[in-house]
Amino acid sequence: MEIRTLFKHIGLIVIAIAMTVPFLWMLGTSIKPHHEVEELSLVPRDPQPENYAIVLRQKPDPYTGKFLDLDFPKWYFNSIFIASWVTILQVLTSSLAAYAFARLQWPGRDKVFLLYLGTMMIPGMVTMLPNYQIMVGLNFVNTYQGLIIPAAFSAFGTFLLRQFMLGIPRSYDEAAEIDGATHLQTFLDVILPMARPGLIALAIFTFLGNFQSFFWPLVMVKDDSMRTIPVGLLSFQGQYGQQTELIMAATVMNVVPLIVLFVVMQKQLISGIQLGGVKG
Amino acid sequence: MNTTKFLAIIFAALIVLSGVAAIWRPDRDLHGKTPLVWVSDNNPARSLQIAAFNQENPSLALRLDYGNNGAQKIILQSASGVGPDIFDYGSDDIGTFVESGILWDVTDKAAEMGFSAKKNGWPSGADTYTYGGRQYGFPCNTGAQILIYNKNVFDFFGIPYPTGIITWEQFIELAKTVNSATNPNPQTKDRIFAISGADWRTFFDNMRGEFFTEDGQLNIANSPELRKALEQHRDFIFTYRLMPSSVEAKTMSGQGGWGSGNLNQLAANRFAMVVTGHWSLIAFGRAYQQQMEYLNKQGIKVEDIKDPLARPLRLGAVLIPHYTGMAPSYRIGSRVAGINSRSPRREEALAFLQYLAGPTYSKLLNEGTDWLPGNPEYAQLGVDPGPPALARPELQSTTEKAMAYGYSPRRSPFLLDSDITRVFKEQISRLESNPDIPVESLIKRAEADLKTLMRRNIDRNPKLKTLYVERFGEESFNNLQ
Amino acid sequence: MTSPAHRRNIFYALLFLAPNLAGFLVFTFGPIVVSLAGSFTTWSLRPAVPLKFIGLQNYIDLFSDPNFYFYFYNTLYLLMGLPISIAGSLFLAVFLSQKLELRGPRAAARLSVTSAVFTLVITGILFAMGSSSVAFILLALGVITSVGIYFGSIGYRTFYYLPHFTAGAGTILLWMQLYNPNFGLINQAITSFGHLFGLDITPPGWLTSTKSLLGFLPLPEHFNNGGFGLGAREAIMIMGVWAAVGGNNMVLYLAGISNIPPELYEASDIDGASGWQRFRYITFPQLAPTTFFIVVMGIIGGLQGGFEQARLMTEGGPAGITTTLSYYIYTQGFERLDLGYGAAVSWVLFIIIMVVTLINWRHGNRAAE
Repeated sequence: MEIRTLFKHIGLIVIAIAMTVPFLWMLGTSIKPHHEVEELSLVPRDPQPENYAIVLRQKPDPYTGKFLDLDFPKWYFNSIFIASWVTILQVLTSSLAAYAFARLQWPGRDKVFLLYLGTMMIPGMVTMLPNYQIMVGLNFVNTYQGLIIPAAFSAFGTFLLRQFMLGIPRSYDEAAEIDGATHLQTFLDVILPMARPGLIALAIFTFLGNFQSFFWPLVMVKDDSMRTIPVGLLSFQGQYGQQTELIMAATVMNVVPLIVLFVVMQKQLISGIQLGGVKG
Repeated sequence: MNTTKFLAIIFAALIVLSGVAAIWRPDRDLHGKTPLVWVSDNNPARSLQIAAFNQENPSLALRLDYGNNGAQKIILQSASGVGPDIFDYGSDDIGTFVESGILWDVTDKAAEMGFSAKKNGWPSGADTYTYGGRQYGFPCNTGAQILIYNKNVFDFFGIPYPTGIITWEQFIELAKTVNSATNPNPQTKDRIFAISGADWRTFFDNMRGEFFTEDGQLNIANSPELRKALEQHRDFIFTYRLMPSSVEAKTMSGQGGWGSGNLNQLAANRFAMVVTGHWSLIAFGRAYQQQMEYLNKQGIKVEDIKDPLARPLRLGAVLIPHYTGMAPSYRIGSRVAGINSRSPRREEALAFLQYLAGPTYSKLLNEGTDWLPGNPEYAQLGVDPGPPALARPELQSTTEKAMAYGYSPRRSPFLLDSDITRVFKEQISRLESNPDIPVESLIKRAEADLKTLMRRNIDRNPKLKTLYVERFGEESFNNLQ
Repeated sequence: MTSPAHRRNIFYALLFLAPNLAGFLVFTFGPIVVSLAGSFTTWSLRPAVPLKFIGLQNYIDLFSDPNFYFYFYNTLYLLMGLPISIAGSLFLAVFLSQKLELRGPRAAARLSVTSAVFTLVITGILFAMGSSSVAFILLALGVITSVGIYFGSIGYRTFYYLPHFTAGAGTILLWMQLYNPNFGLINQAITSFGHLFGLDITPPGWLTSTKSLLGFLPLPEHFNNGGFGLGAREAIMIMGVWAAVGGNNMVLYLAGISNIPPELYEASDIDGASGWQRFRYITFPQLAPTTFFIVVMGIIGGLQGGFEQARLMTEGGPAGITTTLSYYIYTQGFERLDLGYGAAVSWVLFIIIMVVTLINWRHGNRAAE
C-alpha cells in the first residue's frame, strides 16, 4: 500500500517538474550574460544578476553602453495602477448591479438579466472596434481613462455576484428590514460581507485579467510612457529581441508577482472558480 | 475588517496613485513656442538636425518621436487624433498614405517656398514623393542602392575585390568564392554567406520591371522579368546557397555583440557583401568605432593583426550588377517627410520641408553620413570623408553614379504599393519554406490575391470604378472577381 | 398597481443598477448594435472614406475571399489541442484525488524534511563540483518533493496551476525563446538526446515552419501547406496545452470528483472493479455535466483565440498559417482600418460560435438522457 502511494507521488512529481521546466529555464536565463544565452544550460557559469538592474533602467546595457530606451518601471506602475482601478470599479459596479438583480423586484428585471447573459456569448472582438471609435471620439486614446473605463464594466462580474447573492439566505435581509434598514444599509452591512468570497474571487480574476490584458492596451497606447507590461514586452521583443537574457528578466518580473499572488490567495481563488463553474 | 472600510481605503489609495500618475510624465517646457512632433527613426544625427531647425525657426519647437515609426501606426494614430505633425514615410507607402487621407498636398506651397519636386529635387527621384501629379512632402534623404563589400572577408578567402560594373553571371561566380558553403574554409567558426539583401525585388528592379501597364492595369502574369527575378531569388538561397532565407536570417546568432540585422552581420563578418544604401555607414561607423575601441583597450595595433577576420571593418563599393545586354537600372528610394493633413499646426510645419531642401540641413546630413540630400544642389556640401577604412567617398560617388541609372516604377490608382509588398511577402514566405514550388504558382497566387484587393479597392470608391470602366470596360471589371 | 413601496423599489433598483447599466449600454450593448449596423457599411477609420450603406457587400467580399476559409481552417486547427487539454485536466484531477497520505501527518512531515535536507546536500555538492544545471534541476525537484509530500494534493495543484495563472505576454515570449529552432531549449534538447544514441536528428522548425500534423492532407494551394511535420501551429497548440491542462478545468474536475457520492465507489469495490472500470463506469459518467460545461466553454474560447500568440510570436505567419479569425479581424480593423469589413468578420465568427455551441448543446442534452 505504501509503495503504491510512493509511486503516485513520484508520478505527480515528474509531471510537476515537466510543467515547471520552462519557468526554471526562464529564471536561469534571466541572469545569464549575453554570450551564454544560446548554450544548453539552465544555469549560467558567469551569473549576471545586473540584468534586472538593466531592465529597471538602473544600469546601462553593457553592449551599447546606454540605458535601455524603454521605461519598464513606468510600465509596471501603469499595469498595477490601471488594473487596480479596473478591479475596484468592477467590484463596486458589479456588486451594486448584482444586488439589484438578486434582491430587488422591478419590471423587466429578468429580461434585462437575460440580455446581460446573452452579451457574454458574443466574442470580445465584436465590441473592440466600436469601442475604439468611441475612444477616438472622446479623445481618450493614449490616456489612462481610455484604458480604465471600458474595461471597468463586465457582464461576467454581475453574473457571478448575482449567483452568489442568490445563495445568501433571505433571513438576513428580513432581519435587517425589521430593524428598519434601507436597501443601501442592507447592501453594505448584510449582503456585502456575506458575499465576500465571491467579491474576492471576482477581484482576483479581474485584476489578473486586466494585468495581463493585451489587446485593448495594444490599440489604445501610443507613447512608451503609457504602455502596460504586456504591450511593453511586445516592444521590448521588437527592439531588444536579440537580448534574450533581458527579455527573460523582464518576464520574470512580470510573472513572479503573479505567482506570489496565487500562492497567497489560492484557497479563495479555487473556491471562487468552483462556485462560478459549478453554479453556472 | 469591515468590507466597506476596506473598499474605502483601497479607493483612497487609488486617488493618491492617480496623483502620482498625473505627475509622472515626461515633461516638456515649451516657452510659448509652437510644438511640432516629427515621427522618424532613431538616427543619431536627428538631434543635431532638429537643433539647427529650431535655431533657424525661433517660434517653433520641433521634437522627435521615434517610438511610433511605421506606416500602419502613423495612419491609425492620425486617424485617431493622436498623430504627429510631421512623419517620415518610404516611397513605397505614398499611395497608402494619400488614399488614407492623412497626407497633406503641398504642391502649391512647395513652389513658393523652394522645395518643389520639379525645381529643387533630383530629376529621377520626383516620383518618390509625388502621387497623381501632386507633391506630398520632401525627402529627408534619397538615393539608390549599391553593393558594399567587406574587404576583410575577401582577404580571408584570398579573393581580389570586385571593381567596375559586373554582370550577374560574373557576380554569381564571384560570390561562390566568398561563400563558406561553396568554398569551405576550416578556419571559420560560423557560416559566412556571400551576399545579403539581394532579393527578388533587387533583380526585378534591375530589369526595370513593372507591375502595371501604363494605364494602371495589373500586369504580372505576362512578366518574364518577374519570373526570372523569383527564380533567381530561389537560386541564390537554395541552389547556389549564397544567401540565407529570411527565416534563417532571423535566427542567425546575435552573438557578435553588434545585434541583429544584415548590416551588423556584415560588420561581424557573417556576410561578404550586402546590397544597401550608403546610409548604412551609420551602422557601420558605429560597429567600426566599437571594434577600434576594443582594440585600443587591449593595446593591439591594427597593423599587427594577422587574421583578416579579426581586423576592424574595411569597406568598398561597386554598382549593383546588371544583366548582360541590359543597361543597369536601379530603383530610387526616398525617406520622405510629409505633413499630417489633420494636424492643427500644418501651416507651421511647412517650414520644416523648406528646411529639408536647404543648405543647413544638407550639410548636416552629409557630415553625419546618411543617404543623399533631397536637393541635388547640396549633394557634395560638407561631405565628411570619415575613417579611410570605411571608404565614404567611394560609397558616395558610387551612389551618385547609380542615381544616373535611377528610375521609379509605375503606380496604379487601383492598387497600393503596400498591397503589392504584402502579397509578395507572403508568396516569398511560401517559396522560402518550400523551394520546390514552381514560380508560376507564386505568380498565379499573387495575381489572384492582387485582383481581389483591386476589386475591393474599386468597390469602395465610386470614382475609381468610373475610371476603371472608362479605361478597361465593364467586362474586364466583372472578371476581376 | 404602483404602490409607493413598489415605486421606491424601482427607484432604488435604478440607483443600484445605474453605474453598471450605463457602462453596459455604452461599452457592451451599444457597440454590439453599432458593430452589427457598421458591418453593412463602408465604416472606416480613414478620413478619406465616406460612410455609405453597402448592404451585404462586406459579407459577400469575405465569403468570396479564399483566405477567409484559410483563416477559418487555422482557427479550427488550433481547437485540436482542446481534447488533449481536457483529457489532461481530467487525468490530473483523477490523479490528484487519489489517496496520497503516507502513514499519517508526522510521517509525511518527517519524509518531507528528509527529502529537503537530502536535496540541499546533494545540490550543494553538485554546485561545488560545477554541474550547476543538474544541481538546479535537482533543487527544483527537491522543493517540489518536499512541498508535495507535506501538503499532498494541494501542494501539487499549486505547481500545476501556475502555467495557467501566469499565462500572458510574458509566458508567450518565454515559449518563443524555447522554440527557437537553433538555440531554443526544446530543439537543443532534442538534438542532444539524439546524440546520446548517435543519431543526427533534424529537430522540427516550430514557429518557422509551415508544416503541420495534418499536412499530409491534400489542402487547397492557398493554404500554404508545408507538408507533414511539426510546425508553427503545433508549437502554439503545445504551449496552449501546457498553459491549460492544470488550470481552471482541472479545478472544476476536482470539485466534480469530490462531489461524487462515495457509496458508488464502495458498491463497485464490493463487485471487485479495477481502477479503469471505476473510472469508466462511475467517475467519467458522473462528471458528464462538468465535461459538457468545459467542452462548450473551451470551444467558445478556442474559436475566439489565437490573437496574442499570432501578434507576439508569429505575426500570423509563417505564410499566414497561424492567422486565426480573431487576428484577421485585428489586421483588417487596425492595420487596414477597414472597420466595416472587420465587423462583418467578427459577426460571422459569432454565428460560427453560436452554431457550434447549439450543436454541442443538443448533443449534450441527448447524451444526458
